[in-house]
Amino acid sequence: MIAYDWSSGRFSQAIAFEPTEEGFRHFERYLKRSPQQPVNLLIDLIEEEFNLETVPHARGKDLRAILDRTLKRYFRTSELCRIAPQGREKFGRKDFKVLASGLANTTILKKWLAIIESARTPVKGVLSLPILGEKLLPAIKQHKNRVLMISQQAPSTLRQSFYDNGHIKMSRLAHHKLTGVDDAALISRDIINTIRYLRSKRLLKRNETVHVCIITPEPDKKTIEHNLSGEELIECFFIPLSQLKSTIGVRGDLPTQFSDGIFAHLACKGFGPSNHYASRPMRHYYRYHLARFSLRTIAFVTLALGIAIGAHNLLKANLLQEHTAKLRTEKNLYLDHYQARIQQFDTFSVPPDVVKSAVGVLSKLESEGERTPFTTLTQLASIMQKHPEIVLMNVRWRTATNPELNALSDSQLARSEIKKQTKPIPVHKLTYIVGKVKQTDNSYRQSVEAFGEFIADLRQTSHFKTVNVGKTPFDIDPEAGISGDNSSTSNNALNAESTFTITLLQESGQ
Amino acid sequence: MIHRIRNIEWDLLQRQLLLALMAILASAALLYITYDYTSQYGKKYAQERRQLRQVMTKYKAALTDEALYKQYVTDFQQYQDRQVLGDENRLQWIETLQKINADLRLPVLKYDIKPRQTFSLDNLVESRDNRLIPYESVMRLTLGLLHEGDLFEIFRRLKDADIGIFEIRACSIKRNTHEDDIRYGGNTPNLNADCFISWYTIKLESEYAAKRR
Repeated sequence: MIAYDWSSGRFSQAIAFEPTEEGFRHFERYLKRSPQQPVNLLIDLIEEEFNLETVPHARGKDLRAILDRTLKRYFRTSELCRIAPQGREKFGRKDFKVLASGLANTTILKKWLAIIESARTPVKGVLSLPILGEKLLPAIKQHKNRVLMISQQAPSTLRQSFYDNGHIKMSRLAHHKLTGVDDAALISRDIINTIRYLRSKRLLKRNETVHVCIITPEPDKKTIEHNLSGEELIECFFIPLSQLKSTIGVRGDLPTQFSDGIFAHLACKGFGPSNHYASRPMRHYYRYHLARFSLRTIAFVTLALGIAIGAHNLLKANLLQEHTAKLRTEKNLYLDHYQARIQQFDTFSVPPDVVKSAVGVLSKLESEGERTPFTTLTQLASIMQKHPEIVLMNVRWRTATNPELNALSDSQLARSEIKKQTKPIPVHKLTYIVGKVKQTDNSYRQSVEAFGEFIADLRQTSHFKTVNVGKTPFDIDPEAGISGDNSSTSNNALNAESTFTITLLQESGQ
Repeated sequence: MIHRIRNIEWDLLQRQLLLALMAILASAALLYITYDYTSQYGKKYAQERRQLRQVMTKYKAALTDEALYKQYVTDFQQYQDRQVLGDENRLQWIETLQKINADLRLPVLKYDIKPRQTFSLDNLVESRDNRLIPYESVMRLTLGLLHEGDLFEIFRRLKDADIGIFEIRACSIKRNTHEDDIRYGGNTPNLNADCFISWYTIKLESEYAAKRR
């Protein structure tokens, strides 16, 4: 077990712990000393198995049940396992291709996990190094090829993982005692054996080229290339660790001379899923870590919001204060103007609308006062000049709201007698005339004609709307009686009164 | 659920819980204090704005009043001087009639003033102002005239005296003689006239009347 301390892409230390009682104790002490930060457990164990399977096309609970059953078939007793989809068959039923992977034997790992659990260290995830290798392929631009990745994480082991189109198909950990002497031959032989195994398992077809990607600290390139040159359909290339670490963004040095730091960086950096094998109970303290993080975030956000809104409130208060001061100044200005205006009316306390109404009413009354009998009398006088035979005995003039009102009536002579109306009512001028026709030369016909001309003249003028003759001076109606005295001693030819009555109506404004 | 809560290892969360609680309390306190502070200024601002609006309204009303006064106050004061606003001045009417007749020397000039009555302004103007109380005093003039020109002259002089507003409501002129029997001079009238005239006055509501100059 090697513990790496990784922060922001930089490894600060790497401590190795032996799987012995003493190593376990050291590890326990190490965890207790370390801050409660979440850990990723990257496993590179010989016990890890990879099994490719096909499952029939199903959905939902059925698919889940099939996948669980398939997984249990390989890892009956292990909790550290998983089954992942890898696309579908191209032909036939187009079944799902899945990879069931996990640790067949978890005895050693459980011991370490128990120590982590007792130290209440949050486990973010248990990650498989070969599966994590899938995320390395895009960095080395091999994610669309068939790749056999050779990497060395420890002095005594060599990891060979086969990927097809970015998906892991097989991985094995070979124990070798690489002493530095004839290591290249050993590696070459192992690669050839693995490729033969892949071809025999039909994971790699006979006509398919395999890209052998060797990630080793100091590979003996020439020997390996020479040894593999006899094999067809193999393309071999080497990736120096120094180049790879800068490609994936490792800052500073790798913790060891092997490629374990590369995969550890991938595990911590967050490439891909953060957990492969860890079950829910194993991640128990990681949830506490998330809860702590959430609470801290809530505290921070709440405080930040409180400060922001508080600052906004203070700014608003400041603005309101400024606006209030401006309003006060404006108000005082208006008050000064107002005071200056109303001082003018101090001696005059009648409200202006009352003044207006009073003036309006009095003006109206004054204009009503313009209505006099004099225009009527003047008009009558001018007509009378043409008719010297007409004599007026009595002229009665009056105003009335009802044009039908009998001219003799004494009602409504005062405004207070007029019944209240909803709107102003027009006022008419009525003139009632009593007169007589002078009889000259005992000419009855002449008198009748003179009266007729007088009435015609009255009607001709536009001054009067209606000229109504109430009583004619001589009633020559066949229905009426008539008598006369033509004696030489008599003054009057007819025994008839020559008086007449006329009613003149003028509308308001005439 | 209760079982789950009981199984929570609170010691792992207590610091963060305390921190969150303190942050919430601090934020709440901050918000309360600043909100209270702001709302105080908000109230002052609203109050000031309300007062400004009131003063502006009063100022605008004062401008309107000023315009109205400028337009009508001269006429109003003239009406006041003519004693058509407020109490009527019957004595002056009588004195004026006496003065006119002292000059015209009419054979007959009798007057009879009826008690003052109110009348409805609705019959006169479109919009009635209830603060105005109109009054009418009917005066009956019985006149003996030498000729009709005397009637014209009396009313012309009454009008020129400018002692109030009056309206001739009715007038009856009756010849006193036969058609060609006109007398010139002397104390016997040729025409008898009987006229009803209404003298108008307006009283303002008591509160304005009391304040009036």
